[in-house]
Amino acid sequence: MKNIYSGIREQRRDTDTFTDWGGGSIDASERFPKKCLGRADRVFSQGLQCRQTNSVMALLSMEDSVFVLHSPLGCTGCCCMANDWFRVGQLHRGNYAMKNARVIVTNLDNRDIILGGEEKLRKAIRLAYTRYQPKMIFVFTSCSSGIIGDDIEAVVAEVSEEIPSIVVPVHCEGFKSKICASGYDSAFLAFSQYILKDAPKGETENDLLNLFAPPTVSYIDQTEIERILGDIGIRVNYIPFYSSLEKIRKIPNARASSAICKVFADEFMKELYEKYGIPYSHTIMPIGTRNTDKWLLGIAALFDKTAQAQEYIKEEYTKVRPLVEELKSKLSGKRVFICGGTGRSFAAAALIDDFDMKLVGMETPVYDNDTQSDLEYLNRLYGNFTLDIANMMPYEQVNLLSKLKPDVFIGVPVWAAKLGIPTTHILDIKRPTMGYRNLVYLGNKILYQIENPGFNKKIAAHARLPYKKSWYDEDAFKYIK
Amino acid sequence: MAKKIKQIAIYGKGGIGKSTTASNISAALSTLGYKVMQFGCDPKSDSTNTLRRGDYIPTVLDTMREKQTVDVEEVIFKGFNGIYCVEAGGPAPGVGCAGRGIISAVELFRQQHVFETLDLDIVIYDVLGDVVCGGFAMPIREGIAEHVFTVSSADFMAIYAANNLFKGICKYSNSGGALLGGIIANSVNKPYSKEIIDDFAEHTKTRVIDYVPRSVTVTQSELQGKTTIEAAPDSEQAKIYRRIAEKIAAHENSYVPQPLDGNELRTWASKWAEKLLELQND
Repeated sequence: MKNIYSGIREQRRDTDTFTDWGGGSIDASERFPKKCLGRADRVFSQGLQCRQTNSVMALLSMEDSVFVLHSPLGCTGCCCMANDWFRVGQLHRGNYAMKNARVIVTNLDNRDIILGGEEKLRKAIRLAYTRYQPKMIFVFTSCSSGIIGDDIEAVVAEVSEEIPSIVVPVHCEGFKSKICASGYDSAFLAFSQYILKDAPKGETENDLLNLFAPPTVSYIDQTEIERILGDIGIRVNYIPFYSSLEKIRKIPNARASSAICKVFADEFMKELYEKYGIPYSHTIMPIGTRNTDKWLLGIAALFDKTAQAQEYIKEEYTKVRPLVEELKSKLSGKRVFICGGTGRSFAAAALIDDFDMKLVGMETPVYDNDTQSDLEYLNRLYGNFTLDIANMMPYEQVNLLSKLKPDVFIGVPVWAAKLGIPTTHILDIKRPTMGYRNLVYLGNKILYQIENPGFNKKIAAHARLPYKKSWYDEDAFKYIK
Repeated sequence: MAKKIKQIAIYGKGGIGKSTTASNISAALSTLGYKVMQFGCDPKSDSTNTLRRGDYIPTVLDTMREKQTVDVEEVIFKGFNGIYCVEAGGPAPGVGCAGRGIISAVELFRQQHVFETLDLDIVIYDVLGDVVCGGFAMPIREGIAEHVFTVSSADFMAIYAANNLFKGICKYSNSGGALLGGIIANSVNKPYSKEIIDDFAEHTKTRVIDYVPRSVTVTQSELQGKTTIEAAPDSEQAKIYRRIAEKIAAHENSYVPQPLDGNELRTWASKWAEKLLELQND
């Protein structure tokens, strides 16, 4: 089954993938196994995330690397956020000599589109080397280079002969996928095809775990996760955030693999299993005690440490439980709406169970087989709730929120805040969210917002969302046909 | 009020004789006293060769390759009888985007108001006829050519290209794009060739404006790097080209064709295949 994966999630063969749907969660989970969600085509979209953004985000913190974007200038916009995260990440890791990521754009213009952009790319890669002499040069493709069919592989092969850097093409043309997580897949495909290539398995390091983590995991979460695993004797090869060529090359030496986010590196882990026999654990994001347990036990089993992990969980509970119980007494019964990436929002939905909160609605970008198992689990926990399969779509979100009137909104808060709803988010690269200890921080964050809604109330009083009043009376899923 | 410049696009499958026809029409129009420009929109950039004694001229895109801004004066060349010759050109084969090239070349001329400045009467765009992408449909969009003529033989692939062109015309017809002036039937020597083209025209609610037979005079003229109008002005063939030129100069009302869909086209073609087999067996 090698080489069938193109890095485009819509084309995965072992799962069905939907990006547009709206309705009841129980209805959804009953329809999905029949391979028919019914109305599953959004005829009006307010925005989507580009696949290139996720490829860039995944790799921009890579050590001793230069990033060449083979695109018009505008595509580099996606580097702003990734670079900000990179800078914050450096500070958190104690690196006060903070640097920007080194990005070169080929700046494809009208002339290059007509005549081809290969020469500019050749120049850009050479420039990347002469200016910085990095170990790795990542070349990100774009819609433009994809449409005109520039032969990136040929240019990379040619220039690689001239310079000692490893040149790694990342095929991340935005138009090829509506699912932004495909951008992560492109990054991992690049690792496997250009860095690992035919690297041998090497000697297995028996306590080493490849841990694939999206760039949205904060440093304090990383250390919490490393602490938990370290306490039961597992060392972590943390990839790709703040990673390096050496760490990537170490991947085949690990005993097992896992990911912090369920949608992250899943295909790559399968490939590592097929190629090197490295087993992997694919469970859930470690947010909330229940999920952290599940996640930890999944990994522990691959290291024959199940009993030790169970014991460890008990110990952690004795420390964390009293604090969680205290939060629970204050948060119990609060109604929650969650909006986030697929892995994160499902994990967070289970987390609110720690605090005995009630899930009323969820917005998440993709519905696939993994979503189905998570959804069945949530349906058992909370019964029916409103499910919106959408990548943001603020018009649907505000419509739903104004009807569901949750006590708190967890997710990207831009629009919910303008409705005066207390908000907080879990996609927080700067603050704690995951593992046992950080759960307490997260709980307090939610509680704080509920108890102090003044800021959002003020915003709601002064800011206006752009929709007509009549829209709020319409069916939120009116444009899903 | 400034006079209205007549802009005409001539489309046709590669190799069908479209540039030969376009150049002869341009030449004939110029001898009739019109100020004409022929604008080649094919990356092969040989549309205007026979207007310039076989010379290749620097193309718009060659010039654009060398420098960021192109002054149109650098890419307009005079040919036979004062005809202005332009070649859009294209990228090297296998790279870049030829369609985008055509768009940019045509836009450049519009921006610099070239046609008005040169006080032209007629502009003829000679375009690759498969309309493979948006770029090759550029000349039939709003505000550029007004009338489209397609050169087609009775060859099935040429008809297929003509049908595709009709689809393109339909698409843009609602937004003020060019309409069809008619079909110029080329290389019509056998009686059945004429029948095939006439039948196709009938099925697509279009009209054949004239029939051009295959002629050795054309080949002889082209080998001298000339149009038939220039090399053999008194020949039968030249008369036909002049007749077409007169019709085009007088042409006013174009219309929306009704292209066949994939299935209809296949059925239509197989019906003709059977007929031709019968002819062969007779």
